[in-house]
Amino acid sequence: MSNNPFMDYQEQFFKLWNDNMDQMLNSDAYKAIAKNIPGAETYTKAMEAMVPNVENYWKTMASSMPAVTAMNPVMDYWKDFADKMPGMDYFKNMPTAAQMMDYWKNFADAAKMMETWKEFAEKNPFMEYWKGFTENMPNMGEYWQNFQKMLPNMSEYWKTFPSMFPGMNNYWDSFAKMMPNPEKFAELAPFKVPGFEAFTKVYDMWKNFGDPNAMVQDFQQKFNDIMADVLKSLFPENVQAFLAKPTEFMNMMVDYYKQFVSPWVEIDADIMERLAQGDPNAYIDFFKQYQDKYAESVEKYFTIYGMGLNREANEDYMKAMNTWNKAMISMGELMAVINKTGQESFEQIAEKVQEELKEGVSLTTFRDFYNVWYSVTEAAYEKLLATDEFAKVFDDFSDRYAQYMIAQNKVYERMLAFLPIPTNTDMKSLYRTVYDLRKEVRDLKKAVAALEEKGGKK
Amino acid sequence: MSENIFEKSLAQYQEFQKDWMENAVALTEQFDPKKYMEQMQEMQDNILEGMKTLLSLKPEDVASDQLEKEEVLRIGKMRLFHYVPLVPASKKVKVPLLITYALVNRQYMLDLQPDRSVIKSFLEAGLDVYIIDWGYPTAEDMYLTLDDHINWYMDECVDYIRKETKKDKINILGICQGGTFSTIYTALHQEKIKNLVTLVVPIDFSSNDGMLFRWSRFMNIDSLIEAYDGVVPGDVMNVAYLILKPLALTMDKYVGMTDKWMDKDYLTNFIRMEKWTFDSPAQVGATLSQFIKDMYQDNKLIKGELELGGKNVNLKNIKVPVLCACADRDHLVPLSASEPFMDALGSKDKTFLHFATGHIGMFTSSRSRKEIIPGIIDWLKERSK
Repeated sequence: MSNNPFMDYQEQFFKLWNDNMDQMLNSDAYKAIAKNIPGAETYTKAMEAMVPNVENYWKTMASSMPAVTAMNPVMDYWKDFADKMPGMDYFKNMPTAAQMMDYWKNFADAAKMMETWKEFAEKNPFMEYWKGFTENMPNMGEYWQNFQKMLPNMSEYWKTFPSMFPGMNNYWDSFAKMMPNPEKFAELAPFKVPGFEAFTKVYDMWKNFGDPNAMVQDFQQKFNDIMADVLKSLFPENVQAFLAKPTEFMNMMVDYYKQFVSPWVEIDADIMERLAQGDPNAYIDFFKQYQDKYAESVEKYFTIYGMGLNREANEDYMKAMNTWNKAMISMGELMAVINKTGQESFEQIAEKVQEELKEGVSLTTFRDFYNVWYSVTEAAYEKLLATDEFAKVFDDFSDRYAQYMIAQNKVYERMLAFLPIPTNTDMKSLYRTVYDLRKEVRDLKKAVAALEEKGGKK
Repeated sequence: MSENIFEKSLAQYQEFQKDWMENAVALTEQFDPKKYMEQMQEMQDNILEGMKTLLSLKPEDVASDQLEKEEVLRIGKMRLFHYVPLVPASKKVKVPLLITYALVNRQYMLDLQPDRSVIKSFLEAGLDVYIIDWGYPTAEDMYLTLDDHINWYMDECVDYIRKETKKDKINILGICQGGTFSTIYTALHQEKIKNLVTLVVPIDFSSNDGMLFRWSRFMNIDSLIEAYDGVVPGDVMNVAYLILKPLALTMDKYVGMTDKWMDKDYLTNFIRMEKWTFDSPAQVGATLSQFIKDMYQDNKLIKGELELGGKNVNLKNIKVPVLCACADRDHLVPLSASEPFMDALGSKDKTFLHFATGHIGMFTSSRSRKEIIPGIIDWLKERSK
C-alpha cells in the first residue's frame, strides 16, 4: 500500500483490467467467437492498444497527485457542482473502487461463460443428433416417400391402431377422428394431469431466480397466475370462467370504477393512496367500501320500479344485472383476500430461502425450491382458510353468486315460458306432487300391512 | 397521483428489489446444473414410464366395489344391499350389521380395493353385512327431508333386515354424516338397535377446528339450493373439499404421483381413489338445508333441540352399547366434533377410540387393516352373542 489511495485504486483497477482482458482475449472461446465476427480482430487489436494508453494516462494523473488530500478541492468542486445540478446523477453515483472491481469480476465470469458456450457448441447434442439424422437420411424426400408407402392410407392405419390397445377402442377412435385437429385432442386428453399447469408456472418462477431482474418483474404476476390456476380448478365449470384472471379482473373493476362509477361513488382518498402504493390490504378495503357505496348509489338505479306491461320482466332483467354486479364486487373482495395471502407467502418464501441458505441447507434443484414454495404457500392458505374473515368473505361471494344465478334463471324461465315445454317451476310442482303421493302410498301400505296383521292374514 | 405517492411506491419497490436480488444471487450461486439435469431427466423418465403404465391399465385393474352382493330393497333411488357371506353359516355373527354411509361420496369406499377392503374384513370375521347405497339423487328427490332419510328410508332398511334375519335388534355402523344419521336413528328407535358404532362422526358442531364447520356457519344455504333448483350438484361439494387443502389436493398430489406412478399397484390404487374422491352424488335441497341449519349453524343435536318427524331427538335416550372411533388428523370431522358425544349419551357401555390417521385413512391405511378394523370387529362380536 502506498500513501496514495488514489494510486492504489488505480493500480488495483488496472491489474484487474489487464488480468481480465488477457484472460478474455487469450481464451479459446473469445478467439473462436472473434474469428467468426467481422471486424472483431481489428476491435481486439484496438482494445489491446488502448489499454496501455489509458493506463498511462491515469498513472500520470495519479502521480501528479502525491496525496489524496490534494484531490479534495477538486472533488468538492464536482460535488458542489453536482448538488446544484440535480440532473447530474452521474457524479453523485460514480462507482466506488469496490463496485468497479465487482463489475470486472462479473466481466471475468462472462468470459468463463463464453468458455461454457463454446464447449456446449462443440458438444452440442442436438447438432450431433441432426448430424446423425441427416447422414442417415441424405434424401428427406425419399424418407417421406418411404413413409407414405408404409402408410398408404392414414385412416386405415388409425383403424388398426385400436386393436393394439384392447379396451381402448373408443378412446383411440376419438383420437383418430381428431387427428386433423391435434390441439383439440390435447385439450381433451384424458390423461392430462391436473395441477401441472400451475406446477409448470412454479418452474418458470424458479428459472427466473437465475435472472434477478426478470424474477422481480415477473414473480408477482406468476404467483398470482399460479394461484388463479389452482383456484380455477376449485370452482365448478360455470364459475371458472370468471376466475380465469382474477388479478386482471381486479384491475378491470378498478377501471370500471374510475370510468363509470366514480362520478357517483367516492372512495376514501386514503384507500386510493394505499392502492397506488400496492398495499394488498387496500384492495380488501376498496372492495368492502365499494360494496357500501354501490348500495348507496348505483344499485338504486337497478332497483328502480318499472311501469307498464313489461314492468315485471324489466324488473327481473335489472335484478339479474344488479345481482351480477354485486357478485362481481364480492368476488373482487374474495380475490383481494386471496392475493394478499399470496403476496405475504411470497415474502415468507424469500425469508425461508434466506434462512435455509444461512443454515447451509442445499437448494440446488427445482424440486428443492418447489418444496419450499409448496410448504410455505400451502401453510399460508391453510391459515387463511381457517379464519372467520375468509369464511365470511367466501360465504358472501357464494351467496351473492347464488342470488345472481337465481335472478338469471328467472330471466331464462320467463323467456322459455312462451315455448311448448315445461319449465322448472312446472317440474317442481310435479315433483312436489310425486313426493306427496309417494309418502301417501307409503303410509297407506303401512296401514294395510297393520290391518292385515291384525286380521291374521299375514 | 401525487409525486409523494410515486416516490413512496418507488422507494418500496427499490427496497423490495434489493432484498430479492440478494436472495436470487445467493440462490443462483447454489445452482448445480449437473444435479438439475439429472433431476429433470429423472422426472422425464418417470413421466414416460408412468404413461406406459397408465396405457397398460384395463378397466378390471381399477375396478372397485367388487365383492358379491345382492340388492334386497329399493325405495326411490336408495338401495339396500346384502353381501354374500364369506364364512359358513355356523361361523356367522348372530346379529346382522347395517352400514350407513354419508350422503356425500359413495359407500364403496369400504370396498375400494381388493387387498384393503373393510367389508371383506368384516365378512371374513363372520359379520352379516348389509349396506345402504343412497344412490344419485335427481331433481325429483329435491323434497326429501332429513326425516325421510332417517325415519323412512333407514327405518324400512332396519325393518327389512330384522324381518329377514328374524332378529328384533340389529347392529348399526354409521360413517361420517351416515354416523350422525345412525345416532339420530338410534335415539328415536332404540328398540330396534343392539349396538351402535360411529366412525369419524360429527355430533358437536360447535367445533372451531374444522374449516367446514367454520364456513357453514356463515353460509346462506337456501340461496345456494335455490340457485341450483333444489338439488346441489356433486361438484359443488367436491369444490368445498378441495378448498380445504387447495395446493395439496389440486397440485402436489399429482406432482407426488409422477414419482411413483410407474408402479402398477400404486397407480391402480391412485386411480381408484381418484374416481371415488370425485364421485359425489348431488345433494337434495331439503335435507342439505336442514342439516346445515340444524347441525352446523344451530348445533341442535348435542343440545337436545333437534326435532325430527315431530319428535325430539334426545341423545340421553341412547342406552345401547356405543363405540365411537375418530381420527386424530381428520380435516373434515375434527376430534372435538366427536368427543363430546360420549358425555351426551345415556349408555353405560361406551367406548371412545382415536387413531393417528386421517378421515379416509381410518378405512384405507395399513393402521386401519392392522388395528382399527380388527378392533371394531372384536368390539361388535363381543356384544353380538
